[in-house]
Amino acid sequence: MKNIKLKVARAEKDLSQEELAKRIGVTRQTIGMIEAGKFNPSLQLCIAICKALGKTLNDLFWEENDNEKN
Amino acid sequence: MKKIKKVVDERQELELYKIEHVCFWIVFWLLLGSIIVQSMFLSAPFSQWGFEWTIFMISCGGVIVGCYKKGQWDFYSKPTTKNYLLYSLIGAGAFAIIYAITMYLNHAYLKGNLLALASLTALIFGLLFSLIFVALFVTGTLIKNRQKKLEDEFSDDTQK
Repeated sequence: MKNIKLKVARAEKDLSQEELAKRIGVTRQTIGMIEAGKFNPSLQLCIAICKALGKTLNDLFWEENDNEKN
Repeated sequence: MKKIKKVVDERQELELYKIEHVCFWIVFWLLLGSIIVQSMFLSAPFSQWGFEWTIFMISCGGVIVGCYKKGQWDFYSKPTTKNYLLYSLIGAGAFAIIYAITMYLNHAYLKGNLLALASLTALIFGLLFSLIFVALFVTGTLIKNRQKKLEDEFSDDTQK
């Protein structure tokens, strides 16, 4: 399941994948894979991403309906 | 002792574990195959394959101890009598077939006496089946007890 919300939130903050990755101490590939839905991050990493982007877990990782799947 | 700092993130760590997991099982089965070929097909003396056997046994022991400590059994099954029977049957069956083939190839007497070969194979199968079943039953029971203990350790009733 692609994470469009994360991609949008990152774009809103004008951050590249590389910059976000650096802020939370992971690799760019990890951010790319989370956005592409290829890797499920731990709760700890989700929180770190939310903090870096000024969002809540609900904002970035909660799915209200099936519209955002794939 | 100072812990060495990891330079990988959680995804990389997970992927490295997967790679190591696959490589471990490849080495495990290749080592077992090598021991079987040397000891049974080539009838090599123990001094030739003993070192490999020791390494193999150490890895088996490591897996058993590790699984016990964490209360883990297997990726695909649970420690039940049905599974002990199934795994014993597969293990003993596979070994009995290899045993029968090597005995047939290496002993001229058995080539002309298939009844004796079948009896010997059946005996080996029976012995191995019992041995594997007992080993699985003992380790399975120990692991189930350990699982219960670990569950209790983190239950609402025991946490303060």
